[in-house]
Amino acid sequence: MSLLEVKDLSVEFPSGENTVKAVSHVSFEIREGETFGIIGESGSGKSVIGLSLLRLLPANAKVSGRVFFQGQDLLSLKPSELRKIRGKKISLMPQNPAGALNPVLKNGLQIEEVFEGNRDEKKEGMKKALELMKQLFLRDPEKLCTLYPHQLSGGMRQRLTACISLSFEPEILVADEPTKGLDPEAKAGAVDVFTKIKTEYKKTMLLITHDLDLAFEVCDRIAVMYAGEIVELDQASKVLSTPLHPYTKGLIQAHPRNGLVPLSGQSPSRIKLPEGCLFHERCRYSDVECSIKHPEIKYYNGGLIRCHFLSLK
Amino acid sequence: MDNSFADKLRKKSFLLPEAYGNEVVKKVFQRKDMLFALLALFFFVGLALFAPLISPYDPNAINLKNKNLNPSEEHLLGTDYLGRDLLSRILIGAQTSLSIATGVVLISLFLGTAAGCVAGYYGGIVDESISRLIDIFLSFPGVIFALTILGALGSGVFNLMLALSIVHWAKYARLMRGQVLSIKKKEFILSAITSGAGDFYIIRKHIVPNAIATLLVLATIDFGHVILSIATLSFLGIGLPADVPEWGAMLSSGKEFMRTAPFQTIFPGLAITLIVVIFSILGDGMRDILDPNHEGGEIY
Repeated sequence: MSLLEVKDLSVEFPSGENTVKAVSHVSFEIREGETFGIIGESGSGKSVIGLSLLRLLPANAKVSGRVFFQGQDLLSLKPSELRKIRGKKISLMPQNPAGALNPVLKNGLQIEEVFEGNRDEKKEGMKKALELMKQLFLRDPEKLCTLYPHQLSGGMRQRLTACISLSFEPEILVADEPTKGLDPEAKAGAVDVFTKIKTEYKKTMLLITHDLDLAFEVCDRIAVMYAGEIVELDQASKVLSTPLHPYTKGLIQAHPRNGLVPLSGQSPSRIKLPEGCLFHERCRYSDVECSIKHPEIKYYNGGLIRCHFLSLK
Repeated sequence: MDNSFADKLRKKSFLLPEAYGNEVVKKVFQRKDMLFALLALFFFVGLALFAPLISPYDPNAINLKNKNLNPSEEHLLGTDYLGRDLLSRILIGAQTSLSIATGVVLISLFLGTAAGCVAGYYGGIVDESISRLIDIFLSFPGVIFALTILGALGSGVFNLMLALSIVHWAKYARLMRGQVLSIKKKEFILSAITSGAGDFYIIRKHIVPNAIATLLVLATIDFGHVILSIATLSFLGIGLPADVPEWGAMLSSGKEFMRTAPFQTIFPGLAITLIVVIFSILGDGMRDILDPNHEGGEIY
């Protein structure tokens, strides 16, 4: 059963006379209890999707499409109704844990803030949050609450933001590049944290990342994004071990463990997208058809893929 | 896999830093100039608070027999041209100046913060209109603007406070607007919106605490300026009614006897200078302590 359904989501940012097409016609669904990963290079529109789910984009962004959550279209909800969903039903774990904590408030207050406006639940919630902090490998949570964010290490801050986003027991946790800016050891810790969230708390997660290791360890299904489009969507193990789309192949080969082979070229300008397949300029399989006709996303071997190459075969 | 990280943590001696103590108080004690200024301020405030009790004479009692006296045992700081005791008048004058300045700073701090928050937070047409209003208020020279308002309203303690607040709020509003604009883009604001916080909550809990240090520094330095403005207006004879003892008015009346009885100008002038210097030192020190970019700032 799908808990969150994104249908034909497009996001554009007007910039001067041009429009930047950040996300175009993205559709996917997240089933209950699963961890859905979105991977792709920087600027492929991953974070914009995460932000647009909760309507957190700047006011000038033009969002079209639908996002269904429990039968409600999040994109057309009233602000007051949206506030009931933000943080309570869907919570977003922000991209940069160092910046996501207010430097002048003690950590305890920042956790309490989630329960603000709900006094009865505050005490109960704090107890649960302290328990959660212990679970997520944060030692001595009571003392931690009396400290300021700058007194914690990066990994601790990251786990604390995870706690904050989980403490209201949301139905969906959207984690936006949770391992960004962490050292390898803290990254390994983050993998543990997310595995734990997944196995013990049975949370549905949307994991937006470019850390392929994390995606491989944690995700059930993965969507690969390129230039604002989903190019491949399948089971995580299938996508990451037997990639079909040439871009996914390139992405995986560029991983240090697989030889650090860079993809030639650059991703296209989002103001003026190339004709045909968005990837054809960099694709080594590209054909005449690729530069003329934009490929539709098709079912192939149990997954979805956007490539002429497969349909030609 | 699942417990490896927890095991690693258990093996490490994992020490949390000490809870944040009163670093600010500690730093104040490390700075001799601030400590001195603070003590002097407490002394002044104490004098002002207990002025009616400790002043030896009625500040408005006219005694023409004793006019223009130099300091003596009977009149410690001498008397003015109407024979009024200078010490009593300076003490009561401290009360007047400090209380009016406190009122002005509080009112303009509150007004300015509110206006700046609204302008910076909501942006768009609201920001445009408030910003233009700020520009208009800042474009007038302060004393002349206050003179105009007082001329329209008439003199009096409350009117003086009102006039100076109208002149001073724009500074705070502009500063606050800038602060809000930079704080608004920080990620913790987004994170607060994500957890369902409303506008007012974000302003109260996230924006104001982050901006308050800068505002307090401005307020402290401004305190001295306000006291100077009060003295200036009274010196020009438009600030306060004649029966309210005030340093600027004392200077103004004493200046005619500067050659024969110089103490009538020296003592009120000294009082004004002292209090302005005290607030300057305090403001400087507070900026050094509270400004995170300043050297040795641990509050990153």
